[in-house]
Amino acid sequence: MLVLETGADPSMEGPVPAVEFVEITKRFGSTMALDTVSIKGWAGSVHAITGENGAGKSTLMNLLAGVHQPDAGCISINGTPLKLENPKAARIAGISTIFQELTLLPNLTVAENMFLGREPLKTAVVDRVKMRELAEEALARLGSQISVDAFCGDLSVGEQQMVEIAKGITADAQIFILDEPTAALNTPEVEKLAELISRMKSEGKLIFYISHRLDEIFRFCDEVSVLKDGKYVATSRVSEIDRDQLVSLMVGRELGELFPVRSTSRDQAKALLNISAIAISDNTPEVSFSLSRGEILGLGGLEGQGQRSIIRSIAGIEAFSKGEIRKTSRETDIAVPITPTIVEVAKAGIGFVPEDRKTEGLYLTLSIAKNMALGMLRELSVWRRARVRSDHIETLLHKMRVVAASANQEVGALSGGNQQKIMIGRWLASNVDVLLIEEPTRGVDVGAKVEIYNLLREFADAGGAVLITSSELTELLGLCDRILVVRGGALVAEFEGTEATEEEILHAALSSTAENYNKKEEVA
Amino acid sequence: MSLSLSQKKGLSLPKPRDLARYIFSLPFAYVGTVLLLLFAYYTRPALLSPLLLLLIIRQAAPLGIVVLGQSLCMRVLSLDLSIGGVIVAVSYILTSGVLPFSEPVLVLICVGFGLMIGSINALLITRLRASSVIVTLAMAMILSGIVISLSQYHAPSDAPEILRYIGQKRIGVFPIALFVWLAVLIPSVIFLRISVFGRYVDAIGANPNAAWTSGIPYIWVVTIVHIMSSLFAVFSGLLLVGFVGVGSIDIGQDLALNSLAAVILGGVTFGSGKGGVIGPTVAAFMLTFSFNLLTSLGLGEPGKLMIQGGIIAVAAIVYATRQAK
Repeated sequence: MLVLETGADPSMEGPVPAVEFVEITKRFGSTMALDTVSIKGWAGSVHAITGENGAGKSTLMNLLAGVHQPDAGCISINGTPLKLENPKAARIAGISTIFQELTLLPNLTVAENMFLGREPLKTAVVDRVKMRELAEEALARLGSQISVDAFCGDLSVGEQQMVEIAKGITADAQIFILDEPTAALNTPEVEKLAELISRMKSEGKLIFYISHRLDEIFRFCDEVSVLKDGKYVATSRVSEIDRDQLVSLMVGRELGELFPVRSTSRDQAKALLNISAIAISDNTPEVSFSLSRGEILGLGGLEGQGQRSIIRSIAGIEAFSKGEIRKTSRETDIAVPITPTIVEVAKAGIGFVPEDRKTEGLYLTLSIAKNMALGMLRELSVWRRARVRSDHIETLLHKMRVVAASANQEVGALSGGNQQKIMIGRWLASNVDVLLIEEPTRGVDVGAKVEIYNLLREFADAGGAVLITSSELTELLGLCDRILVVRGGALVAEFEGTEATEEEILHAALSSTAENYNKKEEVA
Repeated sequence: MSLSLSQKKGLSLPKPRDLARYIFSLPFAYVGTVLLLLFAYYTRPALLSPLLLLLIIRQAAPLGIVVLGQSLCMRVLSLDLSIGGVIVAVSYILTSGVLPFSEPVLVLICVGFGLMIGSINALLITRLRASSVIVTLAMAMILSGIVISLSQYHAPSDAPEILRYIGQKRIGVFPIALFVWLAVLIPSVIFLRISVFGRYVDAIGANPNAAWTSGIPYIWVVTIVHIMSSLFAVFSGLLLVGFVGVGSIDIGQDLALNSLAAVILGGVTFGSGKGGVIGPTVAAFMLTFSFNLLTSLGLGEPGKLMIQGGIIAVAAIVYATRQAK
């Protein structure tokens, strides 16, 4: 076993990398998740893998963990090319993965979880004494006080992470994958993790650290590799790069011709939707903003920072404990408060398009026409006759360039892009004037993206307003008139779509010093 | 390759394979009824005489009516097992003699009672998110229990005159019960075809989450469905009490399970949003016919139990596989 002193020099001749990805390619359907990616990881170092959402970080690590297999290229462990056909093969090869979603069984003890499936045996019976001893020893090596008899369900997320790492140590793993390990940790737990990582490093382990949080990369890691859209961008020693350089490596892309021209008709003085001081609970920050006629407003930020809760609260799906939402009525031009239940919100002329088309968005077993027709019934009582104008539907389908055999085709048989159009089209048919859209182009090919962007812009130009959440910076910058950055449930920055840069948005999304945008407003 | 809508429109000719698929996709009740009639033709041709067939139809009417409600429940991914309890209670209200009202008022009380039970079922299912199976089964048991305990003090007496008339008399050769059945069935079919309500039932059946997030008044629709189901049970109870002529504490007890079986045979499947009203109606006839056929073959009660059990087992399997998806 080759153990190098902290941070081996990649350019050094001779030593063999602990892990080497050689020209790895992986496709999922028509999506190129990884495109000839080559990265070397050295024993006794912490190697960050970073990039925007969808860059391919998790896919790469899933290949190493044996969850998926590469379509081309190979993975070498200590110089030997290995086929990691399943997670067990990866475990045997000395690879331990601590996933974002922890995989411990809550009703087993710490020791039982650590040795699950490979319990030490005394003849045919589990040797509980030895199992406890080994578990204790591993936890002690990590400097942990967790009792091996505690049930994992009773542990905090940080403690569970510790157990997962200890599990890897008892399995004699040399390579650890930490996938966004701090996502659910509080500050003292992060300190503990930092200590743990340095301990593992000093034991000669290689740690792949998956994160897009700059603070952590610069604090914990020796090397950083950047992926973008499934392609390898660069690897650098952390000490030889600064934040701005790293951000531009993560971002750097031309916007191209993807987006429709922004309109100049946006009437900022006239709020169509006014969100004042809503908060999900007493402990979450208050959020206020307004949405004008003719405007496309984007909620950006890292994934899981509360964008989803904000848009779902407005849609009436998640309850909020305080605050008020007012919408200007189309008929009277007067702003009236909206009862925040999904049915009332829809009645008020606000349509919600969820991120997950299949489980929340569409009626997959119903035809295109029936899916679209449901939108037209919005303003009718259930006892009324369902008047559906099929010519209207046909026109709309044609306008949206939906590719289908006929309007009677089941929606489930359509491609992702066409399904997305149907979901948006249902609300277009229903004559709403506000659209709330989660990830408007997730899992959609470029051609359909352009068409969806055009649809939304047309909708806004016709006097509507659109609020989107998006994890794609290019989408926020190219499509939106204004961008609000969400961090920790609060709005931390506001940008004009025409003036913002990816760097600024990323900085606002990442930086812990960004002021609370709403508080700033109060002062002003 | 991509074809736009207008280009492809009107160009779909049925192919033989599609035709086979179409027949296969029909509710089992259609094929089953044809097979049963053929079987009866060779073994017990007497059953096919018009007079007996009309009698069987009359006998099928109470089941046919509750099936309408059960099929609605299943289409919105719910169930109603309280039917038997409602019918027993209706029988008690009409025949116990405890309530000192005229016959039309008693019938109105029954209707009000149905409204109430349906609302309670719906309230528990939609607001408390309790399982529809548990809620409605418990409701059936509670109602039956109450009626049995009350019946200890008042032996049931004769059914009201009008109901006996409706249940037993005919117009020409046609039993009045058949007209009652049609009078419930036809408006239901039309209402479900053309109303917003019918569209919403389809939508909730196809994807309840999507129905919720797109602002369909989910709770209201499910509430209406359960109220309708209880009302259909009341109508069915009125007919049954009329048939039997006297009150009884075990009247209509197998209607809940038979309606479940009929709905499944009629092609209503959980979670697909598919299924109409006609399929379950045909299935109600088919089941009733098969019970008569079994009786004439000397297999009455045991055969009935086996058929019911078999259908419910299949239903459970279908349900489980759909859930697994």
